[in-house]
Amino acid sequence: MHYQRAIISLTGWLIFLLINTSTAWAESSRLELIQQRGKLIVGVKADYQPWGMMNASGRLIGIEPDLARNLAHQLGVKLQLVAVTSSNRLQKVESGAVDLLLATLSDTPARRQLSGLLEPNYYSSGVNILLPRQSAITSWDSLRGRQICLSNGAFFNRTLIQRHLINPVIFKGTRDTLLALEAGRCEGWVYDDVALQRLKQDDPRWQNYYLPLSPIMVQPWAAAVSRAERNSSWGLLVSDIMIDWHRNGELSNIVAAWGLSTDGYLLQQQQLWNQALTRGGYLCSRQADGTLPLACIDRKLALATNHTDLQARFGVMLRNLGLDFPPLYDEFSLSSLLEGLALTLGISLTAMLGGLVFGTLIGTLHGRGNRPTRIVLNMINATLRMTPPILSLYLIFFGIGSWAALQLGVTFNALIIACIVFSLYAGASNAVIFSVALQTVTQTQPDASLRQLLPETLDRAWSGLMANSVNIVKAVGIASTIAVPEIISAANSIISEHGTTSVIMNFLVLFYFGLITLMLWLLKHTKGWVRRWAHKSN
Amino acid sequence: MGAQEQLSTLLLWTPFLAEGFLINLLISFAPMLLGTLLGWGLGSLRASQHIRAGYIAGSVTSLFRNIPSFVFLFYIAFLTPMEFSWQGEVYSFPIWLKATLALTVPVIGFASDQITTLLSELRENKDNCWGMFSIAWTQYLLVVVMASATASVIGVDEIVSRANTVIAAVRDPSLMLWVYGYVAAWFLLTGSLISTLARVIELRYQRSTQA
Repeated sequence: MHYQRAIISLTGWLIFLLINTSTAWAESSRLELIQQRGKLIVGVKADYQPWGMMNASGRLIGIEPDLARNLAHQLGVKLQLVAVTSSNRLQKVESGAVDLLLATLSDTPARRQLSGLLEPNYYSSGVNILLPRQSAITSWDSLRGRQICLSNGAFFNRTLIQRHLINPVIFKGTRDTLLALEAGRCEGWVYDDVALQRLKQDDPRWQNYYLPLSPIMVQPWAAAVSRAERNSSWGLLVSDIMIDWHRNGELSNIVAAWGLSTDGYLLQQQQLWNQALTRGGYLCSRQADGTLPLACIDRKLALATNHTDLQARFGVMLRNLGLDFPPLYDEFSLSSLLEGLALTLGISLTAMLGGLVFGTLIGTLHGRGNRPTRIVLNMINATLRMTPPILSLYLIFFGIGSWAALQLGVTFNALIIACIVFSLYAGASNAVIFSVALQTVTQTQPDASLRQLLPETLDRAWSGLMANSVNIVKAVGIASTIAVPEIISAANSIISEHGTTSVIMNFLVLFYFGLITLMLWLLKHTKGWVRRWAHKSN
Repeated sequence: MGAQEQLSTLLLWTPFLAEGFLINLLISFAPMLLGTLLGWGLGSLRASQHIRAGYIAGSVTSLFRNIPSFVFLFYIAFLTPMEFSWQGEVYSFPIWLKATLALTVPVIGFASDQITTLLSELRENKDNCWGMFSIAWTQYLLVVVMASATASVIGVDEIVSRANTVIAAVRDPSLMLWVYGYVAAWFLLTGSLISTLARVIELRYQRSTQA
């Protein structure tokens, strides 16, 4: 009966998926939509000075917000800025949450497959590593096997992991990475060269950190619309406006206004787009087929867009079948998914056992203790149960963690913190159930020793304890917020690299449904064992 | 930053955090009401004489019960459209509504189970089934309030998300612990109020059983 029910549920889910994918959002032209709503929505960064950042009153300001304002003005519509991060920006533009991305996005062949990156590029930067003064890292080759901080979603992470063989510690935003580096969780931070230089220049906390190596992987930056709109009226309009920015120097003016040099890349681009033909007009202008001349854009990138290797072609084939599951054709995705899966199971098991041990211990003390003991334990318990786990993780990992690093020189391990937080959260609820059961059993046998009462107490409390155990497994995914690479983190990384949102999300939902169903089934059977054991012990 | 300065900084940001907490309450109560209504429908089908309808309702319940709301948050955030146009007007799909939908899912599973029990107990004329139901409901409300804090991961502007904004704006690492602790105190206070409410219901139920 239980299997059948699970099968019916799954069938229902699959039907829902079919409906979900077949009624995929049919969209009229994005340009029409923008004019209809009288508002342009642009995704910009909030943590990348001076390109996109938040001022003291929480407003988004910087070079990219200024460029967006210029664009909205030319379109004659209002502007709404939305803060995006390195890990969610492509997903935001593909899902239509923003009309356009101006978010320090490096232009790579892989990204051109995922999203509608526009030509021409508007800036260029490389990758560098921020190091403390006495660092053992003296060249890009000496990174091997070291703990290095990365920011989630950056295109160069994979190269660092695969080619430089670093031991990655990946965080979501610039803030969290800064804290981690400060706390000594990693030996250096590999990030965008421009951002790191700016950070050192503006923030006195970083005067003891240096950029001794020269940047690698220098890449141009691109604005992006969704993949489907790259060649639509909207994509072409933005592309044309960007050409104008290069020609009339608007771009250089805005960049210079924020204190950055415009001598290198921008000057060269301004000269390129202004080259005149003897017969009139510009050398670099849109051709009859809508493309730009190869001489005017990044040739390598433009050619790479049409070139795909065997693995990528297999990926495209799967995508056409509606089954784009990167772990099937990409080993890197597969290993991060498997690692995530193992970690999720490991944390779940630890939290369940930890919760049971902590719960029976505190429950026994509470059930047997005198009044003052009970009052103290009640307070501890209430605090543990009524603090949301996500807040406890932040509080311990970042709050106490940065304090401990500064004052004691101790660094916390995210995985251990997660296991402790979840054990305590489950344990607090377990303690309440165990204590009530112990008191009930004590009333029936007032003279029995604790040892004699234990089996019957466990039998009484078992259903409640198991319900809490299932609940804690459902909460384990929250560990992704402090960079534990469990399955939700892995899924998010794959989505930000490959953009296969719906297949990965459906996989995640099915994985959890299967895990919880299996757990409920196993736990139901343990009830029988515990009951038989309790009877035998009496 | 000295202790006094830290305290005044916390006070300065309190209205901002309080506004965020209203969103937590919104995305806790709305799912509880919506989920209870929908769960009621499933529960009454399961308790009804229609074997087939009850079976399907049971399957739907297990689906909703067995998927974590944290996963559903990402699922709904990623896979539902941000805007839709209807009769020439563009409407946006606010993010708090997405969070509400995600948090409704486990409530449906919970309510369906509770109501199935409630209806079968009512049929057997047991005492105080309503009392038991209200206690369980109030306790589950606490679970949902705790879960509302996770909505920050999909960008809902609730209190945890605002705590991070405050920390970023103040730029003082020593304040971080205080800001998170202060927000935790808000949850603790609300949780205690809800627990007290559950306790009051429980006592009234015990008294009416004894009477």
